Amino acid sequence: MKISSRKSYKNKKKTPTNDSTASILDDRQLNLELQENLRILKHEFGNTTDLIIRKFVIGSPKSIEIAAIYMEGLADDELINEFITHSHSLMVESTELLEIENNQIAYIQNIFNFLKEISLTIGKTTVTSYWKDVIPSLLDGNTIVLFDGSHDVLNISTVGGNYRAISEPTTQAVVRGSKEGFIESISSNIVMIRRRVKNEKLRIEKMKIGEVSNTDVAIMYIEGFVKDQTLVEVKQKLEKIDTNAILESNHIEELIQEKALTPFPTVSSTERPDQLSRSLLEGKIAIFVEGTPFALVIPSVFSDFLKSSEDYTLSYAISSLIRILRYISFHFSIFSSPIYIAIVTYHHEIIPTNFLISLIAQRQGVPYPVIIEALLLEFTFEILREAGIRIPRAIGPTISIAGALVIGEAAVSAGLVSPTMTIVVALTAISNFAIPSYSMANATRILRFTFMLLASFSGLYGVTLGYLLMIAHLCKLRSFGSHYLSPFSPFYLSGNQDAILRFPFSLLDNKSKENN
Amino acid sequence: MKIKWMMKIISLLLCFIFINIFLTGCWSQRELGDISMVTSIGVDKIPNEDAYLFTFQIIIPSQVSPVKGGGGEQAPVTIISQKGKTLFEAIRGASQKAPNQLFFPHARLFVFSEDVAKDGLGDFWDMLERDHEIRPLTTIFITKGSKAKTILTIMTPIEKMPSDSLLEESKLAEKRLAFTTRVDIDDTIKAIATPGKEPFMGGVEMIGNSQAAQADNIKQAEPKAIIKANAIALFYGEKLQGWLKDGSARGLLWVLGKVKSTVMNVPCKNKEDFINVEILNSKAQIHPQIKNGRPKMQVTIDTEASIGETSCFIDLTDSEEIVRIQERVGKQIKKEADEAIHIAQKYKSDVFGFGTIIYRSYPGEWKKWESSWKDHFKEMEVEVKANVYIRRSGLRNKPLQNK
Repeated sequence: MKISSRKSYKNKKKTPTNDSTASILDDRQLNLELQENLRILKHEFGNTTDLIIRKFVIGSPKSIEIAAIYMEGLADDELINEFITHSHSLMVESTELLEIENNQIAYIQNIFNFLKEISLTIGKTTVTSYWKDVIPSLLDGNTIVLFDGSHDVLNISTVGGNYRAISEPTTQAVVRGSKEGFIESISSNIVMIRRRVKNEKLRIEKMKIGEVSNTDVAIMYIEGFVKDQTLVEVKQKLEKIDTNAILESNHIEELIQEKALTPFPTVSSTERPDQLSRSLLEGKIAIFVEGTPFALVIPSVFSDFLKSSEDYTLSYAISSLIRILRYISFHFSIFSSPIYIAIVTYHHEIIPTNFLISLIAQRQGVPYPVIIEALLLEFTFEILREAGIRIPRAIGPTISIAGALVIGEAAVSAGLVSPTMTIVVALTAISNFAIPSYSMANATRILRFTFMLLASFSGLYGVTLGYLLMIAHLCKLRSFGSHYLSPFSPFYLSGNQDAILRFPFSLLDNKSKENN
Repeated sequence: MKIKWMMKIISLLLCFIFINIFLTGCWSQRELGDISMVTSIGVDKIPNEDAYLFTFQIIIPSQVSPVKGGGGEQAPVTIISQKGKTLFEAIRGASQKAPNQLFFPHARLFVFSEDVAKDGLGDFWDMLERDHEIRPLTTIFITKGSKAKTILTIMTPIEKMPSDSLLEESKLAEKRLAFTTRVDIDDTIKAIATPGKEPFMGGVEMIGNSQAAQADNIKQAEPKAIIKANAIALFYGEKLQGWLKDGSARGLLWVLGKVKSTVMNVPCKNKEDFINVEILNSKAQIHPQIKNGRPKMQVTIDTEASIGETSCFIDLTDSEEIVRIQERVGKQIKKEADEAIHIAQKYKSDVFGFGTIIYRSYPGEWKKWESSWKDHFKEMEVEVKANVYIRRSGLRNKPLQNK
């Protein structure tokens, strides 16, 4: 048997092959002639109808042709209208420029400067003369003002457009607490954080990732809290990303995270600004991706996935108890079915006599061994879960109730499954939903099936060995330099104040100040 | 290059090692439907043969469990009898009569008939200890006056499983009346292994007519036959020697300090009526002494009691009265303990563990007496003192009737 070496399948880039692509990327300056520039621009965009070109003339008696170009919907129309209106006022005052009429270049330069002054009242303005600045800027929603007879263009920041309104986060809901959730626009999201952490040390760095999509990605951290090493590592990894498009934050999550083969997530995502602010204050780095309301938080360790912002809005006593409940339900979610399978298949001595008697009675008619029954039920439940995502809201609840009742009852009466198995599967399913982080809940789904197989072959012995293996794996796992099981595994007392139990705020306040 | 090749070999080896996990298949898997739960085992002697008759009482789950209501007239248990020289042989032999494999970890009781016990139980200790499915905390009973198989065929009205019924009966009797005790394999083996101590076991008898008692035993209000946990069997080594009944059984428990609660009747001054006293707890202390080169034991029993019922007039506010009652109760206790010791000495069966106490306190003397301890035990002088403290008298001080 030959072992073939693994080929590395990187994201094969597919950039649109176009002869004049080179012209955008290299340092070509704009033409002096307006018409020529417009022709090149239209050609680049393929005469797309949402590239708006508004031409007007300024100046008298010698008029200069000026074109304002922007993308419909990405730029704010009102600002542009205002700019054009203001710039027409030049017509009235054009007498001032008659003197230097003879000097064409100076004339154009004057008009240029005048319009630049006007544009400063509209938005941030830069001057450029290279195509490689112009086209990305247009796609960001800025306005480009071209002058006939000049290389230079005005690049005015007029980003606008419609976004979804700020609404309640759909996945991480809390009872008492902020009901704001992130939306798809990075600037809005950044503002939400800025409102909560009003500190000048809150740093933001923007970059564009994705050859074709040029998606905006922003890194946010609080200087002095974050570890420099981690920051450097994150930036390096982001820069190394070589792909066509970033359409969701998960894409970045997968490309950034540890190369280890693990079902456990090492990067957590959140839709809530209050949770994100808390993470920033712990020294973590946030990554925003334009188009996704989920921000990534790096580094994330095991205890982070079992925390919820609800813990901080309730009293410390109840939230500590609920956290303990979450840890227990994490274990239930993985081990309920496997332990049931192991005990009923191999270890009948452990079961109390009376319960064993009713188990035997229940299983009288069931045709196949426990493992098959368990796999069947778990599999059916996964199908139900997946289908439930796509069921239209109107009939969703009806179908789920009817489905659960009917399937459960009918299957039991028909003698296909035993009632105890249904209870175990239901318990597993419910404890899966008690885990706050969806990515961690998915990890448990994967592990559960592995443990069920182990249990069916080697009973409790196998399950215990598997558990030890899992813990060993977790101990070795690292998330950007932090141990995955900290603060439990490299045990430090201060970290444990907020890991399982939540100490009252009076004891929590002196947490990591400037740490590095 | 070489390292890359080695890594490939290592990863291949690791893959093979992990696949091994699945090669075991479902090794010791037993399906729930394939096991027959045995809850009691009975051993009888077959006359004129060198074999025993083993009886296994098997639960029928659908009749016992409330889940899949069995309906129908089937009894909750069924029994399988099998001849065999050893227990193992019988178990395998029983596979001819049972559709499922017999499953022993949930067996609660062993019932040996008197004949088997008189012949000696030594044959069985090895099997009971060695087998991994039989728990060392399984209780042992010796039948008194009937065969083990008969005991196992009787259905019980209150508890669906007869083995549970018998077990709970003996536990309750030990705790509330102290006329019998509950001994398991573990205790017995400890007693055998300890020098200077003999084992004893609880007894079970059948009251009623076993012929008439079949499945309809529980169909009417008054069952035709019931199983009763009663008496204590005394052993010397592996052979049954004799029985301690009623008061003397309690006497044994007094000396061992195992009486948790019981009731005693003491006569009133007029000798006709009785005062009923409830014992709340008891302790016993045994002091060994050597007198004239012979062993002597001093047993002190301390109990607390309360007045349960009286049919004669006593004024319980009178402290003299209380002291008198205490004395009378003490005398009764002493009488019972003396009786127990007397009977045990008659059978030369040192169930009290006096030998062990001598062994611990006077090892030198013990070495001399060890080999013939049973004779020494028989001649031993035992002094019993009983102290009773009446704590409460219920809700009344003076009874209703006047003298």
